[in-house]
Amino acid sequence: MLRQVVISCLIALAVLPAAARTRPHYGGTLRIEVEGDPWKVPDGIAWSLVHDGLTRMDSNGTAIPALAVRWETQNDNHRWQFWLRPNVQFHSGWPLKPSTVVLSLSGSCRADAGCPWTTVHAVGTSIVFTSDSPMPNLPALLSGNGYLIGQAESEEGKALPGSVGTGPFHFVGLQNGAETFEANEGSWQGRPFVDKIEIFSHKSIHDQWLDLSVGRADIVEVPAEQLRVAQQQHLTLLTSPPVTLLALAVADSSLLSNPNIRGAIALAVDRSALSNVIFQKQGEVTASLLPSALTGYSFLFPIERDLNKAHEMRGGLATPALTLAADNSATMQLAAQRLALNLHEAGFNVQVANAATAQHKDLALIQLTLASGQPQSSLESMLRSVGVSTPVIENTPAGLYKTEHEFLETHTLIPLLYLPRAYAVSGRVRDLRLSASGSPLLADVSLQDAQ
Amino acid sequence: MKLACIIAMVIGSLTGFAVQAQSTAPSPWQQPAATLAEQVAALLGPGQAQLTIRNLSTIPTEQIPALRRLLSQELKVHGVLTSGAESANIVRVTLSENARERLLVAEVVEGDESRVTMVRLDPGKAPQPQSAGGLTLRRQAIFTTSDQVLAALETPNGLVLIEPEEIVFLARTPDGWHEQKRVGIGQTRPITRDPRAMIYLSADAGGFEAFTAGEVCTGSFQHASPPADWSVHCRESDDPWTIVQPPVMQTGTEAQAATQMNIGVTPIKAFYNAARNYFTGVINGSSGVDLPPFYVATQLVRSAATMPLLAGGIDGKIQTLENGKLRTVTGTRDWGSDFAVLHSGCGTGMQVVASGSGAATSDSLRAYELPAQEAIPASAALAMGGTVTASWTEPEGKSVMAVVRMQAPVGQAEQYEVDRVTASCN
Amino acid sequence: MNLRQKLLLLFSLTVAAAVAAVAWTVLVRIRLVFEQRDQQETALFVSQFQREFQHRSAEVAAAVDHIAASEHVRAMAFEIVQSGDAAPYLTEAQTLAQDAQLDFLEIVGADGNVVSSAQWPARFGYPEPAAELTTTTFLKREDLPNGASALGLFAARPIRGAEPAVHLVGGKRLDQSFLADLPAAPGMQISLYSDAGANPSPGTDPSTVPSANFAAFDPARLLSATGPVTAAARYQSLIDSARKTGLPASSILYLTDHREDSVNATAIPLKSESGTVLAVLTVSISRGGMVEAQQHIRAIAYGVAAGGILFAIICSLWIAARVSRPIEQLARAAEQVAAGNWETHVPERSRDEVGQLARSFNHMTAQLTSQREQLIQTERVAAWRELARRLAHELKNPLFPLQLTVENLVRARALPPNEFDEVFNESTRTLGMEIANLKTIISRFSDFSKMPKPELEHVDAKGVIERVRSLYETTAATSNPVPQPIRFELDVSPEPMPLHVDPELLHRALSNLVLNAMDAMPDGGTLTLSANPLANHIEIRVSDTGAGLTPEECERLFTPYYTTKQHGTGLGLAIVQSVIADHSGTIAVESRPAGGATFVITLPKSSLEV
Repeated sequence: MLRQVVISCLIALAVLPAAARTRPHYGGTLRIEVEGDPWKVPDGIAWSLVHDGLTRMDSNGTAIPALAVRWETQNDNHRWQFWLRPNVQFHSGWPLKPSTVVLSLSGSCRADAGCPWTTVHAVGTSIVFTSDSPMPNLPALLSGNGYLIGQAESEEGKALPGSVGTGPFHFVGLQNGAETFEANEGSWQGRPFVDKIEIFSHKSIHDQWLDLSVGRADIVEVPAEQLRVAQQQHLTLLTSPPVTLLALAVADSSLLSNPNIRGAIALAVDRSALSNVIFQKQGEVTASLLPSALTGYSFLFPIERDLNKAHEMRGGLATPALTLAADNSATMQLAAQRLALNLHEAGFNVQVANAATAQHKDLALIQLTLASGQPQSSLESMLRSVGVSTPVIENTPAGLYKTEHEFLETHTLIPLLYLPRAYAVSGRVRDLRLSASGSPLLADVSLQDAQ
Repeated sequence: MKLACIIAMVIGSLTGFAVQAQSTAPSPWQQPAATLAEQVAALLGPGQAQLTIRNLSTIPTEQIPALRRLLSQELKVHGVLTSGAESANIVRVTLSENARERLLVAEVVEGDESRVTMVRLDPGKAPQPQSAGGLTLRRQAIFTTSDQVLAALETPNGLVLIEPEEIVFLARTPDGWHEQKRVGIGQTRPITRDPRAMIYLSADAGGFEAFTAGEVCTGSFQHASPPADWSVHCRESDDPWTIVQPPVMQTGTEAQAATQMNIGVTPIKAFYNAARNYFTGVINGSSGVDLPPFYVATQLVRSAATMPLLAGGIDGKIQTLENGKLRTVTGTRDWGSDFAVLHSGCGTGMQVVASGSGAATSDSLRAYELPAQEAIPASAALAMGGTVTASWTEPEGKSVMAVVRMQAPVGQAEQYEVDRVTASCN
Repeated sequence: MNLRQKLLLLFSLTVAAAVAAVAWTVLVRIRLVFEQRDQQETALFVSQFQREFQHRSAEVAAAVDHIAASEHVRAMAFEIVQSGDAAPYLTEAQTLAQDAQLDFLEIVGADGNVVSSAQWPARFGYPEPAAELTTTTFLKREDLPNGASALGLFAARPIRGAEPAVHLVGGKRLDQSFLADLPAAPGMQISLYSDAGANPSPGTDPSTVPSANFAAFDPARLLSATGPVTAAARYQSLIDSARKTGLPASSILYLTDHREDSVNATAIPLKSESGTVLAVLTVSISRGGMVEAQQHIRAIAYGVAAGGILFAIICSLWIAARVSRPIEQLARAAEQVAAGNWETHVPERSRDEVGQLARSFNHMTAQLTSQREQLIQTERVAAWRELARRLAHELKNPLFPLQLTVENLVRARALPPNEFDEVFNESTRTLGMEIANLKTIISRFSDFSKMPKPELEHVDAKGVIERVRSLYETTAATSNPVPQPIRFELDVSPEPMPLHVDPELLHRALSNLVLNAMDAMPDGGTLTLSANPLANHIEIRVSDTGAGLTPEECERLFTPYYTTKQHGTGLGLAIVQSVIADHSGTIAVESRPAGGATFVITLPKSSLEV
């Protein structure tokens, strides 16, 4: 009797209708939780929801049209002209005009590295960039969050808050503790599938996973070092290739002005311990700026630790205590502590401090994200982010290697690891993809149970 | 003894032929090795050097010895003799690759100095899928474009593509497809994020009818005239879309076969909700029974009397509507959002070809038999190399057309490929 | 000091000495007993404390044991050994340490390297030699990030089930909170002194560590449960002793200048496995209670002693008074008798020796009085007789010539008138001279008998001497018939010499002396008048260079009617003596035969200057 019941149950289970995968549904509210600030400059996820750039990156990291439909370069990349997409409006209803674009781009130039162009102005329905140096990577650079187009002033000339764009979502405000975005019905890319996105910020990873497990969140972050745990917990994961470079920035201060000292620091770090233990083998050990998947020559930069040579290079030079700043997350602090221990073995006295509060930073553990899937533009973008504003002209592997090698020889930046970006998603999330920089492409996401 | 000699001769000849064949066939390493050797010699100058090779790529290890021989030969040509460990100079060659290409990287070490030179190689090809099951699906790429393709119609001398805002006419030439003209659809509605379209050959095979959200386009062409002369007229319309059309033979000789296949097949139209991108469930010819909202539907022809409508609901359920009754089909857990009927002539003669999970790199098409309310796989999964965004039965019914958004190599734009999928019986 | 005071002092001292001796003996004894008990109590507390410390050590070991035996940890160890991949357990130690409430916990792999560290997460992969230690618990200085270090009580345990063994090394900090958790008896303070130095290498023989490497005592490093120990510097010698020898040391420490702030301190060195002293635990038990009790008892003893002594003094006073009063009375009576009041009588109150003495005294004074009366009477009679004799003698001298003269006159009546006139004139002349002499004698006698009361004035001695000199210098120069005149010399101090005297009487006295001196130099000489101020007196000297005086003459010189001159009444020096005595002065003579004589007058100096 029991056997018959069991068999019946098994048969019933076998014939239970199973749902097939459908086309994306419209509707619903997507709930995202993040540990940091979604409006963080430059790579907070809120920016790309609300704003578009002249170009954007597809999932392979190639620049494709966005607010600009096409572009041309003249004069050996010293001049670029981008034609604007017609019939595009800001969320305020204001049409996208070249003057607005010029105003927005001019305001976006960052003080530290400046802009790749020297001048930007409108010509008819196009935007023209000129520069004294060639700008071979301008289309890729313009896709970055630093150059998104926003409406700076209203029709009356009043300044507007920095969140009026042309993106697939418009920012409604803070509701119920979440940054709330509603679908832009008139988006030039097509109305997004979800009606609303709510982003809950400053949530710890533990709380995010808990909310995911009980259905309060749809997309949560998975730090690289917790990928293994996430896999063990059978979370549905979306992992990018290694796109985030963990590096040690060495200040060119009086203490570290001696290149031998910097060279000794570079030789003293133990990448394999960071990768194998702290980041749980989820990272790719590297001594190059770009990952091997982009260049193929990453192996040319030696990754092994050489403590003897580090001592030799340091010689008998006495160095006072150095400060190594890292952000306040447990993993970064742990990595910083490990690096301090490595450097201690090479004869350096290093104190670890919180980057937010440290008054003085001799060394800093930083994370740089690949901007695109193109090695040339990625290298230029990365160099700009560390204050080197020279454009990267070379586009051959050998030329790129030479550029990287020349920069890395100064030992002002010591690459350590490449880490992937990963997210865990709930069962109701469909079609979530990651861009070339590992950030989620939220506009294409739909919810399984939306009606 | 004599026999043994003959056998030896035969074997020797065969080997010789093989060697000759091998030597005459151009090695893919020849040019890269020569270039690299030249670059190394320019750095090192004439002399001796140790040569080491390591493989950090997906190139099969068995190819390495051949590469080493080639490199040694080419270096010798440029005055660099490769030796054992006694030389202080080292040429360290690494086979590496990135997402787009392979690289031959040479580090030339002279004392404490190290210089680098690189040569690019073409990327390798992806392995072909292997067939399994009662029938084998094969895929043939018809056309590839970087523009988004929603639907396509192949005619004997032309190809009509439905893009979100335009209809594109392409002519077939010996060199491939050439675009003849583009006609704007005149979309007044905002485009959707998941645009859909359907295009059907008109019953007389002299034109087409295309449906997009809020627009209906009709076109006419003469088979002999170039696509540039084809005309198309689009109008704003909320008319129901044709979701099932009897097969239409484009050549007269197959009309009889088509007639047989057409028995009992009547066009089915369904109303489309453009805002939500699905069909509302209201269809004609349903004997008053409304389907639940669905994304895709096709008609199964089991017999003249048995032609259930197969619909994929927005809730993921696959159901049949037959004689006014809705019944769920089981075994569709692995189905994706697109399926179409294929009259293969294998097995029961008709299968449903359904897409898989829809993921960017692993979408596939697979044939299923539906003898009862259960979907039984009838073929191995055919990897499509991208995401199937649309599929339909081509007018003659003997193949399934699919639009695939290809997983392009890094650095290249996404491509949309129009494929024809056919079946051969195992 | 009088008898009463002596008696009082004697009695008081005797009683005080006795009381003091008793009190001192009692106090010393009490102190010894107290201290003995205090030390016993201290030893008891210290041993209780050590047992408690051992108990805490056992707790640490038990906690580590518990973790090592848990299913989860054993599975983890098995997984580490099987897979060879310890990376997933990087943060495990922190979780385990938190659950077990341990301050330190490290998971050490089979290769002896740290897999996970709660206190220094970045230290994975580094060797941890402590994992091999087999003792139950041990002390260790644990290195922490950023160069810090902390002392802890550790235990190392292998995790069962995994071969080769994975170990756990866990512990608790030895810091203020640890000390706060230890039970402390009232008045007990537990503090910990730890060196800042790094751990010595394992296996280092501590005896080979030179003492020069001993870090200097730093008071700031001595901490109690509530924070830095006050007066930590006082603990230095004790702690240094424990550090140097590695053995417990005890001592009494005075934390302030007050004895009640002293403590019984025991320093217990805490050593690492290699025997190096890593810290010193001090247990201080306040001696305040004991000291207070001692002080209380001492105060009572002092009070009682003081009271006793006071009582004794009062009694002594009374006894001394009782004993000395009759004697004092006797003494006073004797003084009065000595002062001339011979009619003094003392009461006779007792029958003892003192009463006997009083009776004898009274008898004596009665006898003296009656004898004095007799003596006075006798002396009066003698004095009258002497006076009459001298007067008779003196008067006889001039009377005899008178008699002769009168007889001559009677006889001369029979002479012719011219002879009678001659004799008459001679005789009347002689009569006149002798009558004048008689008159002088009588005048002198009268002067002597009724010396006038001095009429005191403030004068300067110099002025008086000048007056005398001026009066007699000229006279000496002109009227002396000898060929050599008498030279007057003056030796008077320039300082003021105020006197409160009758200037006339003093002049008369000095005149007498000058005249006597002139009479002593019939052949001329030098008469020196000098005056010098002494401390409270003025000394006036009249010196001559005459024949001088013998000692016998010096003795009798001031006796009335004694004279060495052929002429004179013999009253001059007696008058001088009387005048000087009336001025509360003294007169003395210094002389040697043929050496001249010097009369020395000493008069009290007046407080007022002239």
